[in-house]
Amino acid sequence: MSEKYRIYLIIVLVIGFFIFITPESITVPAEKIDIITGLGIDMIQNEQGENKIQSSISVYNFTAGADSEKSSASKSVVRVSIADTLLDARERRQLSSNRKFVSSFEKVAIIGENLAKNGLNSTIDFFFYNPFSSDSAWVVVCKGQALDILQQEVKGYPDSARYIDGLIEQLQNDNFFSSEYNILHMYSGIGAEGKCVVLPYIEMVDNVLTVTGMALFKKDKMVRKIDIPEARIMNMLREKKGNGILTLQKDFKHYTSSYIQTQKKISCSKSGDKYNFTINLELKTEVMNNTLFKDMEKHDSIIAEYEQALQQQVEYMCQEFIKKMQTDYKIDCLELGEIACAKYGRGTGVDWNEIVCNSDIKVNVKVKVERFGRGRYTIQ
Amino acid sequence: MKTNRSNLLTDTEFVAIIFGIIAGTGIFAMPSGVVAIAKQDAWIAVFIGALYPLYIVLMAKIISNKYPGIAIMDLSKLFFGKILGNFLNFLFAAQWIFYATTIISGASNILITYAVWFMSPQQLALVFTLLLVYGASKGLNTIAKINVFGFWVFILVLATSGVAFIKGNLLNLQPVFSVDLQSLLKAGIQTAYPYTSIEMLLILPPYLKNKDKLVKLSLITVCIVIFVYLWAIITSLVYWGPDIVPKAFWPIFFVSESIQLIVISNFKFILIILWPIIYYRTLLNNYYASVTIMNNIAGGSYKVWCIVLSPIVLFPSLHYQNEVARRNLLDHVVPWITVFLIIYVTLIAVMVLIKGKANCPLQDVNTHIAPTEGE
Repeated sequence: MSEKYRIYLIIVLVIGFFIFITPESITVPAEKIDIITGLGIDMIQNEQGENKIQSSISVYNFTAGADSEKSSASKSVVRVSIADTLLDARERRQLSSNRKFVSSFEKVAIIGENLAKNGLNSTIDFFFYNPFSSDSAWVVVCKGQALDILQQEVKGYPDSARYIDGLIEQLQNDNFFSSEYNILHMYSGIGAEGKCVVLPYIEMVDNVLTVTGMALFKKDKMVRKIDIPEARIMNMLREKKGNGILTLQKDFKHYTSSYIQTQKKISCSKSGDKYNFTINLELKTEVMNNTLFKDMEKHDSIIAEYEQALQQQVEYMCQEFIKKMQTDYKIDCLELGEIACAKYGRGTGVDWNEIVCNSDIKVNVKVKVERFGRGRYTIQ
Repeated sequence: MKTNRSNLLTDTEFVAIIFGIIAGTGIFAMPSGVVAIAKQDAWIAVFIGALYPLYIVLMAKIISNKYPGIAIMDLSKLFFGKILGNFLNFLFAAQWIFYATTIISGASNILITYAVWFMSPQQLALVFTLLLVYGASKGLNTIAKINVFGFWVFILVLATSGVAFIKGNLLNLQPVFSVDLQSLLKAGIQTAYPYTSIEMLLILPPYLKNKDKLVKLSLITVCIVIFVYLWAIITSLVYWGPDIVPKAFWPIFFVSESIQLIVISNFKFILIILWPIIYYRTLLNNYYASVTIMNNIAGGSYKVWCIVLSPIVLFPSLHYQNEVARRNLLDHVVPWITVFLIIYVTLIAVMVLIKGKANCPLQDVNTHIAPTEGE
């Protein structure tokens, strides 16, 4: 019996050896791999005026990592290559790289404004095809070239890509941002009916990487950038839930600030060809700083006064924004089309951007003061 | 030989085997095709498609009323004579072999895309075939245990896509009932194909412990399959919306990918480990079915048939080229197979109604030998 089994064992081992024997290039030690932390994609024009893709990657430099005396900046290297397409650029890059390229670890994809305005379809298609691409990587649009952002040194960090990773991840805590700026959400946003992709827009402000607004997209093309004050209102109206701070200010010394948690509900109705949208916004308020409304903690009437004042201000802000959106931006960046098409039918071939810009949009704000912090220190 | 009671299939094992052969590789791909036709109402199509397995269960009820515990191959021989009956049986076996080859190819395509990009399809097909011969030769009881294990793994993999209900948007399912009846029916036929292979429950009766429970257990299985298909379509719809689901080859994997765990950078790599078990059990069931039928037709040793059929499964599976070509071929061939199966099963059920004698376990029919005995 044991003889027989030994023969089986030898057969299995021999066959297994030949099946699982792998080419040398597959198994590579970590030191020989380019582990990407950030990916930058730009569209540039060469001397003949042709559009080219400039792909830059920020990779971890293992050989420098062992030496703690060297500055942290040398721990990463930025590799650049210019070619007709993204994949060609990858091939071209290997000509000047001493390590094997491995994707799927990137934390952030930075897209140059030029490329974003030209359209991202081929870029998104490239990510979608590739089974090893890291779908949870953040996507941001940057002013100028993504290469410059990647090459930027950030003190205390091996490279700027990791800094941006944290930057975008923490956005959701303030300014009513959502946490949905990664590649997965690009997939579900760009091609879907009634949706509109918005991405954080970063640039260098006084040598600090800063989110200075939002890039608004029409399908896969960036249409324009809006600044943070408007982006805050847009986020408030657009995201299901958000956190931020709102202040009522009389002068430098007298103001009331609160932490706000928003909750949004939208209803939609149709009369004839015209759509009517009502955005119900509930603001759960925690007063954190109050030198404007005296004795607010003691009297219900003053709380109501504050609530009303805040409500009026927010409603005014929202109406102003919507007016601007309908006449100036001409994009449905609040994704109202998504709600309308879920109610009145999909695939009818209508342009939701146009319909939303010609429809009535009402905003109802309800402010509810829930907490007052731990006390109040106002000198009479 | 007499059948040994301890070697018979328990209720759970029976359900797991039938479930295992229906819900295989197809389920991951199915939402893509169905949603392309029926958009946000694709989930309704699942119920239309379910008419097919319910029809097969109805036929099984008719057959088992008069011939409990007898496999369909024996009835075929009984009613149509050895030559015609065996010819029909051979066609019956051929479809399992065909499915086995397509599953090998489909599983290799997924695994090469996501996991073992350095292996060639030939290598993977060889691995699968060798495992297949080994697994099938161990007999039905081992297959049953693999299926029960595979069942739980399958549920685990599928449950991860439940994250869609947290991160997705229920608006993607609306408006409900807005798709016209024609495309709904078309999508219904599309979903009927993933339900094929349920005919295996007509082969298994001799090995079932509670022979009178055949119909009940089959209905339970159909219910589980309906639920699983609904789950697959609804989670991918809720997460991606009707416009995006058709863009992916295996939409449901994309849903699970959105799970983010601390430390693990990419959740899909955990799922990849579990997939081969799911494919393997489906493949094994297909292979077992074809081996059993061929063994029934031509007699001889069960183990010899296990080895004889392996090249027949291996070589065609290398010729499907890529995933798109494979799916196109399936789209053309599966309707004909299904038509044949309906005719085959219906013919035998009609013959049972006309010629069959109630509660008559025919001596000459019941000579079928369980392959698990004496192992």
